[in-house]
Amino acid sequence: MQQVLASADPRSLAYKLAAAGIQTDNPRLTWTAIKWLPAAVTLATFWGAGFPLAVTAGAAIVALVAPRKWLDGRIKERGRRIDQQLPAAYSRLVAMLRANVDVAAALREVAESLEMATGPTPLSTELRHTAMEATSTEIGREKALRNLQQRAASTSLANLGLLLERFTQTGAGEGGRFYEAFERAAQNVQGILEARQRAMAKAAEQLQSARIVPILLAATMLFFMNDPGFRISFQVPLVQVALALAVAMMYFGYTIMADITREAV
Amino acid sequence: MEYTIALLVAVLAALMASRIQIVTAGLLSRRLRAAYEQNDGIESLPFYRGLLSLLGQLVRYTPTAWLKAIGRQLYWARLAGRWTGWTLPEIVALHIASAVIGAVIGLLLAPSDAVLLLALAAVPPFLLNLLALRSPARKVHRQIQAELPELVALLAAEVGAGTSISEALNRLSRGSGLGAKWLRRAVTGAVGELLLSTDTQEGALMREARLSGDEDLIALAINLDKLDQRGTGARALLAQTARSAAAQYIAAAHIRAEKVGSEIILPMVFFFFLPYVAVLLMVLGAPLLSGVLVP
Repeated sequence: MQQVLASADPRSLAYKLAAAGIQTDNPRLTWTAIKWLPAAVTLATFWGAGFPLAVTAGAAIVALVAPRKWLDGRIKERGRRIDQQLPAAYSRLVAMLRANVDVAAALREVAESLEMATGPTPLSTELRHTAMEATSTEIGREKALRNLQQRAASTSLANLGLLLERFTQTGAGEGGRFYEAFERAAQNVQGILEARQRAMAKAAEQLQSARIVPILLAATMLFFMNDPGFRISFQVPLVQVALALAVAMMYFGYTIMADITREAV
Repeated sequence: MEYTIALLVAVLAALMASRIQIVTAGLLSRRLRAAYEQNDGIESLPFYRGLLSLLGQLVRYTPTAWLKAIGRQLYWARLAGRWTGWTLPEIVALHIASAVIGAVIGLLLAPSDAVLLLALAAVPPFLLNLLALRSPARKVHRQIQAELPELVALLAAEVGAGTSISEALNRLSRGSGLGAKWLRRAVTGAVGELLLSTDTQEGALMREARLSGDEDLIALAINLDKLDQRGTGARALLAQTARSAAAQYIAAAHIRAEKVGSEIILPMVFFFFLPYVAVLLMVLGAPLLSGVLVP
């Protein structure tokens, strides 16, 4: 997967799927399946289970839109996971570069330390790959760091690559002159990223309460569907259309609210 | 209805006539020659965009405040790769055209209902602005605001290592992200002129910051101009700027996260509670009204 991310065109299907963490030998088939299969399965299941036409159509539309959103979300999630670990990576890098100015060795050690608790992560994989490229005679340190900037799923990681590239260019910190500047920048960026994580967690908390309403609606509807007195309501075309519209509106509203939450920080 | 259609046709004819100008033969031949000479490189505009030029006269009467607001939205939306190749008058004309289409639909549906007519004329430009301009512009603007403190920290590191401010900006503009893209725009705009301002001439960075209308970018451009003009102490002052930018961002991020709760109340009511209550009422009311609702 890392090979695909390192070599494929960022606009290609193979790159998008790899960035979303989906390993496949046939990107086109996988892409088609993700795009159309959920909608087809939902349509068949709802229709087969005897759900009203409007509800079936509403569910199929949601199933058509949701996988694309899910895939986009997975791609962005990779960047967010990288950002989550970056403050720790920054502080470890600063300590390691103080002891040893070799960027490749420092990156490898940081990757190993990040993997100790949870195993390979998107950030540790990126750092390990960069360290490997940096030690290769064909690529070299500067090119490896430029490659990292180009393929980085997060702007903050690309910035780290830029900073390290400069560190390498200045003869490993120009006898401590750039090291000091690097350390200060690292502290600032670390503070920014930590604050962003906290703010994102806080913003996500606010969205939790909004998730209760659709669950409440589903529970209420199930209750009424099992009630002989109200079961007839679900056979009325107007109610069916309203239910389908409500589902679609809630899904659309949720995407808007999730956007507001993400945009907040 | 006939009078309304006649009025609309008359307005349209007057607009078209107002665009017809008497031109001298020399001017016509010069334009014709220029058109033939440049024809290879020019992409022909789609038909609907050509039609927008008919509304050119109305665009002139758009309030300046609206023009400014749409101009800002267009500036940020372009940074996200949207509306590239569109000019501000074209975008304003598109708003007017959508209002006209809404009004025509209103005239066809309810010619005597003035409230509905006004609502139908106002909704399309409002939605166009909200979804196609304001929303992407807001996203890009927020993204730049989020990236700016990191960018300033990198700039301080570069300058701290002895690089000049102009060179550091050039290097950072080659990076990824929207902040770097914005810098790239300023650097590209500085070809053949100065990137940073002098006492007598405004630099490309300041000009770009002014065009963006963003207070943080303007403040950064002013700071960098001053530091460059001073020549000494840039390292310490920029390090201080980076620290304060980071602190400012951290405080702002905290406040924005707190405000999310109040920002999502309106969409929650509109998209969640209203449909919930509507469906609930319909389910409860259907058996009572089954005589009316069930065929």
